[in-house]
Amino acid sequence: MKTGAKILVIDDEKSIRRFMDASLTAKGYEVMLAKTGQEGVKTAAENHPDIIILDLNLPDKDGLTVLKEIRKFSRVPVIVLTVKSADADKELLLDSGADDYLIKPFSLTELLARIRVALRHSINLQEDTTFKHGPLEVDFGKRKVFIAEEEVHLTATEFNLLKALVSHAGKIVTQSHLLSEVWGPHAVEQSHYLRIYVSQLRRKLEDKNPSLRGFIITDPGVGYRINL
Amino acid sequence: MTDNGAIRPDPDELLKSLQKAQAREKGGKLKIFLGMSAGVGKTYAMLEAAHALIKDGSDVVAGIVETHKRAETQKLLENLPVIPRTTISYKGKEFDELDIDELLKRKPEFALVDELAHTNIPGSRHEKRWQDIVELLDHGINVYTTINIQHVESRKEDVELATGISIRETVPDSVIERAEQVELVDIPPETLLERLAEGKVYLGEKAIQAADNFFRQDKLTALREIVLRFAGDVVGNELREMSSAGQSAKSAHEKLMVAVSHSPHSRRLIRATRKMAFAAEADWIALHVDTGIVLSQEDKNRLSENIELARNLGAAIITTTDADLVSAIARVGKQHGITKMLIGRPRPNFLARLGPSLLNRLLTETDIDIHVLHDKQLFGGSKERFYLPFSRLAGKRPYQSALILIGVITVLGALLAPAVSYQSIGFLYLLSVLAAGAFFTVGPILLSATLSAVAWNFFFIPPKYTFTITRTEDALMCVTYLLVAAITGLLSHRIIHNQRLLRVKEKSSDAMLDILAQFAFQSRRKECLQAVLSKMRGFFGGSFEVVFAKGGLDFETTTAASYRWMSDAREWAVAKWVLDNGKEAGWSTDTLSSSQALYIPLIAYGKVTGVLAYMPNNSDTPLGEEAKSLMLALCGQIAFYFKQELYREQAQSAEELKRSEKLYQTILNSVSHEIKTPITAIIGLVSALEDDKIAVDPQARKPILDELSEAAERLNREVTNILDMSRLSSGLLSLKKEWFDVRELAESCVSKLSPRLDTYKLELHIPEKLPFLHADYALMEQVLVNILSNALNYTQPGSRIELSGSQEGEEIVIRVADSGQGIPQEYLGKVFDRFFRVPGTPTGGTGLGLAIAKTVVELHNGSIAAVNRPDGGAEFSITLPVEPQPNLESK
Repeated sequence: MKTGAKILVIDDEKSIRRFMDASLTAKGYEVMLAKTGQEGVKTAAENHPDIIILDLNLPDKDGLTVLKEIRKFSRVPVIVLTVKSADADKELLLDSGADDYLIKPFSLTELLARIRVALRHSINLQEDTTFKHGPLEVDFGKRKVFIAEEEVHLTATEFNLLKALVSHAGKIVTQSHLLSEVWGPHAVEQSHYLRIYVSQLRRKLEDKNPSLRGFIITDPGVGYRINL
Repeated sequence: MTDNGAIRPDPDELLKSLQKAQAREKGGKLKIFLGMSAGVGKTYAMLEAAHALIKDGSDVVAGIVETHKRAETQKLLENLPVIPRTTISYKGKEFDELDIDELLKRKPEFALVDELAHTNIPGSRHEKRWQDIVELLDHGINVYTTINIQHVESRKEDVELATGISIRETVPDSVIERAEQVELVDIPPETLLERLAEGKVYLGEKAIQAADNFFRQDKLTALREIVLRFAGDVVGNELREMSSAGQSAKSAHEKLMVAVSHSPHSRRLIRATRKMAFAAEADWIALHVDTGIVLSQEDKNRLSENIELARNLGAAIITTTDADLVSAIARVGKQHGITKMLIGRPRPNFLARLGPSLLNRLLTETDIDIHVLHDKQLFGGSKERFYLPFSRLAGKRPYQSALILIGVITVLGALLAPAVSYQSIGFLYLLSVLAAGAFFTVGPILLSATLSAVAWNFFFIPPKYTFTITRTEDALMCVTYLLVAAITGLLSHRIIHNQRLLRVKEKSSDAMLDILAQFAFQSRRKECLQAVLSKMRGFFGGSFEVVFAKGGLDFETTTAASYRWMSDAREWAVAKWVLDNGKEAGWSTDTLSSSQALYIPLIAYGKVTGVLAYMPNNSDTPLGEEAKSLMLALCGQIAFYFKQELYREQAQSAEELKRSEKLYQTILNSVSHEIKTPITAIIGLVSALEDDKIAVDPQARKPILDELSEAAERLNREVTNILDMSRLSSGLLSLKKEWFDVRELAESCVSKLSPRLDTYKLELHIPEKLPFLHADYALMEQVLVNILSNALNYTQPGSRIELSGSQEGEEIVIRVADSGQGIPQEYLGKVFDRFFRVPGTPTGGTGLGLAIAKTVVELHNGSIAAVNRPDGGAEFSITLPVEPQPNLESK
């Protein structure tokens, strides 16, 4: 955990701002608050936060516009807060530059986990890097996967899929991102490939070690994330 | 009844006068500037009045003002807002007319529309300008207009008599009567003649020649007298009406009637009756008796015109069928309490002298006072000769046939003469006249009777080949023969004729009954309407459609076929006009008559419920009076039916509202209870945390925090369920279908319910080779989670829960079975109902979880069911169709 990071919270609800302020300050973050989209964009430009938590439902402009305005000058990680009924928008948000999203209501634990992941830079995949989590070990150089030091045989597609997921470990990876990375840009509409291969991959991992159940989490209609 | 009955206001009369006042209040007010002729300054007076209105702050707009380029008039018009005229091209020429649509859109307080009697160019909405003005008034716009006395329908003849000029454009008196105010614009004839000499009077190009004849001191004086008298009548009437509704002479005392025929005399009688009725302030009836005489097209047209005239003059029209004119008059007179009747002086002719005259019969057979009107040389007597009774009888052919018939009998008689006596041949002739009675009308019958008598005498009664009869008995026989032949011929004619009339009447009443029966036979409106319309098509020919107003503006046509002509914007506009104005229009009427179809408003209880459209097969043949009356009667019935339907629907929706209110109450009860429980817990637990002792004791805090978190979770679950349900039932939800594995679905649901489900013995039976589902993953996950948590809610921790998937034919079945109490048999069918919870079960849900599951599964064309297992416990099964599996290419 990188304490002292600056977090900008853009939300028009007083109680949410107070809850964020109190709990994040208590966790050692430096918290800045903004009530409107405009104020948020201004604060983001002037104070260079390390992470932005953006509520989608703002009184002056919608979250997507705010997100796009911020993206014009900054690549700072943005976590959007949304409600369940806005299912269809999530993928659009993620593809428009949001790093992650949280569905209201959420717990502090969830929020902190997302903040941690967002603050961590993506794993820089060198050919000789290996990824380790619990009993799982992925050797990118040799393209091999071990569970409790026992090799699991994956097909090329399955391996590429796992690689794409773990390289963003902890973050949501959208379906279209996965499809274009594993199958190529022509396949972005073929979401059933993903369903089927993820299902096969899960089975192979879980069959070897039941503790890996829930390792790959499905975000219905959006994508997948690796649960760390 | 006591004496004061006479001064007590008649309630009917009061009501009528109230209704009139109300109609006036609702509609616009009409003010007419009346003059004796052109050039008296009506337009000028109207413009002056308009300026006075503007000064008072009223909103005045000029629709049509004819200044005829007179400087002073034009100057008055300068400061007025003017609605530009619309241009209508007719026969290659452009004409300016009143833009009534623009005026209705602008909706000023007052509109100036000059020349009430103007006839619009074909292609305008209405044939006459006064119809435009009536429409403006009906839309609440006050109208100022002008008219010359010669154009007032009831004074037309007086003017014609006084000036010798025939007048074509007239305005019904009913329109003039609608005026709140009639202002007489009067100047002495001398002044008018001076103005004329100075060239200050516009007469129109054609009229200049006529002017010399018209603008003469004596004629103008006569005209002035007529206009003053008319103005006096109108004012007198107004006064009487205003003074007291109850004391007027009208009431039930006087009621006039006039018989209308196709004769040109009818017009005069109609006008005279109207004048008399107006003076006596009595209602009047125009009666047309169809005696079965076959009319030529020209006569038919004139009859329609006459009836129309009477209608325009404010008569109630009654059409009846009877071979005997007098008995029809007596019957209708009795039915309607007629006190007076006008007839023309009977023309002397030999036929009338044979029997009692019409006048005599009317006087003896009815209680009606008969007023006989003397003929005046009005229309030129020459024309009247064409209207001798005989000429009514269609064409010449019956006479030829009669001649041939008698010829044939004569030849036959000649052949038989050697064998039989000449008396017997007389019977042969008699037979032929009887036959003639069956086929011919009065003229040919009398002709055959006379001819046969003559032929018999000439060819057969000795001495043969002479007209002389030597024997007295032969002479007596011949005369008797003539009488017997004539009478029997006429009698047989009358029998046959009456039968024919009866048949016609029967046919139309049969049709009416047959059509009306459809209302009873068909229960649904659409079918009922279609049945009625198809019967009407069968009877009248052509095609019928009904358009009805739904919530005021929407139209709904009954059949797809009607789109063909109803989709024509012009036809549509006519239908809409009829709907808005409640008056008939289109083909064969004088409103929007260029339209191909006739549109009749369906009016019930004073409200327009729809429009009947009739498209004739051949628009050149006019609709007969009889057919039209029948059609109107049917329209009344359809309108009535609609209204009844409307009431029924209203009652139904009231019932539905009651039901939905009950549901709403249930929802409110359930929701408020289920939401308040966790909120109560949260408030209580938070206040506990504020307690000093607990705040410092982590061991005491832990269970409180756990409870707090569970209460918040529960509240969240319930609110989410309510929101989901409303989202699902709004119908706005679109499914985001993807391919997925049932096992993946099952496992993610299990992990979602993780801590709670872990305390149960879960058995997962999902085979490897199960086909993929093509469904909305998030929604299906919710379905399974809801069913699983339902099982958790109603069973004890540690018990067994079985989640299985299988393929059964073309379907995938997912089952969730528990080992609890099961569902009481009587509630099995209700568990998927919204807000339903099995009575006596622990709380913990809004009763929406299973309802949501059912809705989602059904959105996927699947089904959901609940059963009790034979070995105990409940089992829920979701059945979803297997779709063709996607093509998987492995790379």
